[in-house]
Amino acid sequence: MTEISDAEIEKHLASLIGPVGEPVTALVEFGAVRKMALAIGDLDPIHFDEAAAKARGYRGIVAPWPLLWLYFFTCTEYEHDFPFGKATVHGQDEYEFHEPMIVGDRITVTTAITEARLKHGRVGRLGQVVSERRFVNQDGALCAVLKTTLFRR
Amino acid sequence: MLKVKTIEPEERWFEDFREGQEFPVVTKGPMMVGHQVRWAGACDNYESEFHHDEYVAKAQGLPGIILSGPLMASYLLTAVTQWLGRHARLVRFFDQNRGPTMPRDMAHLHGKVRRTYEQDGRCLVELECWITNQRGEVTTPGSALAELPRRPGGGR
Repeated sequence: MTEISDAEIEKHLASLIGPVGEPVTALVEFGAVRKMALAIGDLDPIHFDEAAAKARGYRGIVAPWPLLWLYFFTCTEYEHDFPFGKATVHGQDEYEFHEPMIVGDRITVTTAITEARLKHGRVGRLGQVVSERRFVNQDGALCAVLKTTLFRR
Repeated sequence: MLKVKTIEPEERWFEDFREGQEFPVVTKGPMMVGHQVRWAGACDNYESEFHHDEYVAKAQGLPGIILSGPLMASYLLTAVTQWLGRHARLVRFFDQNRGPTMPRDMAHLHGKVRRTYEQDGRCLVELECWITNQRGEVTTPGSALAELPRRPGGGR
């Protein structure tokens, strides 16, 4: 079998740039907030108790920011197989936070591939693919942006 | 549902932070497969079998189960929110999955203030944060930016 050429890889990577799938909306559920807060050991009462959250100036029970990963996995496509290389590594994540996500909010997630390039590293070819997910609430307020970088070796 | 015993972060203000200030190290672990399984449940994601099945992990050429990078980053992010106190609002967070965390590894969460500054009327604290394992290897370098209010009435 002939190995895929650099030009073919670059063509494939370029074809990935742009929106991925349709926007998907999810309800921020109390059970999901509680489960995530316990999984990451965040025992701040704003994640469990409405009165405590309101006393701190929030509209209601606050989702810990790592709840973004629930919507990442259940609302968006996570493509990590590529026609070259052997393994995909989840390299890094960059988060921007804006309006807090509150229990009862409806969060719409949109996904796009914003960067996809081929590099030549010390150990050979390295594909770098950056996907961006934007999380917007029912009022149109931006809650968060999550940029995930995958490396394909 | 049983009531969770909550712990409110300390009350801290912008004036409480200075460049070079180090935070108390938070130690998690030994990390177990159960931590990963609980994370998988919270994310409703069980797709990557190597995160919870040693047989699959080894068949894929890995030394064993690797805990999820975003799980470790989430511990670090949580430590940042606790260090900065109840009034802080996170603005940005960054992390890199540099080295694996495996079952029975320790995770020591570190943080240090890089700078404090004001911009467009906002009081900001920038910090670097990272996780080391029991061998002192940095598995997860990261950084964060948070906004804090000034202490009411001024002064320290």
